[in-house]
Amino acid sequence: MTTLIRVDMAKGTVSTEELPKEYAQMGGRGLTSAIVSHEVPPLCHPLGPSNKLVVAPGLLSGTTCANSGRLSVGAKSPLTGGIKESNVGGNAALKLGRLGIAGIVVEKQPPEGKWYYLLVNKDGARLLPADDLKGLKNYDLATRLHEKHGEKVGIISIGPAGEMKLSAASVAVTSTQGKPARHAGRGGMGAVMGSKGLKAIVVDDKEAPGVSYADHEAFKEAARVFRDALKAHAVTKPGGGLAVYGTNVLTNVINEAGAYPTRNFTEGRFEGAPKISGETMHDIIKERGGSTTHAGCSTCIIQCSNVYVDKDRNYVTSGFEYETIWANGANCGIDDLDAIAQIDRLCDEYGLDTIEMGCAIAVAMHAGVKAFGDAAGAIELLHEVGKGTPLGRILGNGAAVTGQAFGVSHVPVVKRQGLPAYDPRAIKGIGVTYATSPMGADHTSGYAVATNIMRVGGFVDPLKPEGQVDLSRNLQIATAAIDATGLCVFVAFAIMDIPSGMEAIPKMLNARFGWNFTLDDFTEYGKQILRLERKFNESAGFTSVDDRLPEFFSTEPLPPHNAVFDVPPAELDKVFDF
Amino acid sequence: MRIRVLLGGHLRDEVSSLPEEASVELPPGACARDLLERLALPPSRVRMILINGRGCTLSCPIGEGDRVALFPPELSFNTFVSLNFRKERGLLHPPEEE
Repeated sequence: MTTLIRVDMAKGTVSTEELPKEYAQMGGRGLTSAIVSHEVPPLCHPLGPSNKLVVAPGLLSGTTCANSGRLSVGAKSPLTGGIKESNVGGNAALKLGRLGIAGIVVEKQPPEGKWYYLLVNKDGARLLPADDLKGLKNYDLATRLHEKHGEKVGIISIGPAGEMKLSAASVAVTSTQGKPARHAGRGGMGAVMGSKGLKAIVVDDKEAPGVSYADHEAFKEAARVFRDALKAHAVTKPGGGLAVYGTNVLTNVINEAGAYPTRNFTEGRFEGAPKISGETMHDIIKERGGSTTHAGCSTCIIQCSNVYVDKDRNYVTSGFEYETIWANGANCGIDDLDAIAQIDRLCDEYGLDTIEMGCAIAVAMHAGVKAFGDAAGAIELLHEVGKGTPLGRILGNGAAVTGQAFGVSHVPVVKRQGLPAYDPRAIKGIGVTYATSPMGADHTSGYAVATNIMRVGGFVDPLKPEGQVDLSRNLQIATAAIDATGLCVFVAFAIMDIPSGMEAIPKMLNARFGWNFTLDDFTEYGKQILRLERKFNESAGFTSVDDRLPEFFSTEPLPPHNAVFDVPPAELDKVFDF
Repeated sequence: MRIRVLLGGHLRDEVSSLPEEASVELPPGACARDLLERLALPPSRVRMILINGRGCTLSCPIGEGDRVALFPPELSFNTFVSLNFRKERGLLHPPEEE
């Protein structure tokens, strides 16, 4: 994996180069953040010609390692104004890895109104006209491109929201079944892609050379140990929690913990949670004949994905997961799983981040645009976004813009990015991550990763401020490293408990590339990525003031625990003391 | 005393005597371990116990009208750190005594 593809959208040309030395050892989030840090002026307009869109498979993508199919998409974010890496599963990262491509850098802009798509295959990459694809929603677009280039290609694409350069626009990636249901949702990466006039990237790995290994036998052995860890753990094994119930199994857990944000973060428990929980969803899918267990991403053995069908057994959506169901369910007061599935499909079609849209619609509901619980109203609002009406464009630019437009003071965003599905007043550790992550409010950037190697021990009460900063710091470092490998963040549930699984990661990297990485080096690697991202944000104008939660989290107690967020600001400023 | 019990995931099938959410009668002074015995649930099948939304151990007392949620090991993931249970208990073992 040594080739970097550069696409000049102004000239319509493509060039390839060996991955430059300064980016050696970088993959996934490591590579996107390094390129954005080095090559994008921090003060540029995110939708202007100076920004660059970087797409990079992880270091292990393309290998036979289990769950190595994550793709990173990075740029300066139009939503946050800072650096962004949004990652996504699906089938594209494996194919790029097998083609020997470390990354694709999309630069500059074509003349107004010109649209292209990029075809990447064993012969290289070329730009093709896409004027006839303009305006297509993601599912129709995938059908058209599959007809033209075969069913097996991977497709990275934007829908109408990306074309309109809305800040909540996502980048879709086809699943292993060819459905554009996996999205790099966060931070408006779809808007940056739209600003480049790039409708899609088609990745065809037919006759690809595949990856080479410094020591293939050692790689196979480490990959086997890693796979065994995933297969042994209760959460990740076949028939385990994620396979049977999907990520939505968290609904009952977080609701019980009193941390399930309800009706625009005004309560911590939703009375309708049992109707939209993972257990209920499992029963509905089984009864109707959808699929409860499903590998949406290449090389996945955890299989948290699913296929959700309607009452007549017609496909509605796949990869129907916890965050989407929360954002457009409890957060909007909606307890109708079929309606939420429709909302998910519409977000996938228009190319929108389901978290940002759920947050924006909930803020609009808070303002009285629609009533909380009005599922038909929420669907109507999403169609406004798809049509690009003035109201739709307000919503499609996210919760912060929606709050401003409607005069709402209760707007759950950090760095203008909507908060995910855990209320930071009842789970304060995740609140520290929301506040301080260079990505804006992001649950994945400091979640439950690798606490063992980070030596985070002892009891940290979720309702107390003590210890949360250390916890978040260590998680953010570990996650940054994991995000560079192309590994799914869910592998952490297994490898934090099974040390041999954790140790297999540097072993696989070493056997693949001929390195001498240790676990400590891996931690240092995570720090290096975070430093790059912090530095970019500082140059873009971010200060400690941006590392704070909105005021209401410290002034409005959240039932049922009636807690407020009270990690002291001076403590938050210590997260990046490393 | 009467309490409300919520069972997560596979526990719903494993405790066939109870619907997913039910009212259960326990003697006054009972603790979480007594509830597991009452439901014939081996401690190895319960990884996370929440009493009124707070993480608890087997010896935690239960009071009249409490809301108790039980989750098996296969469901007790990421919440682990976000809810900040003791990691040294290990995911695969039941909550130990404080």
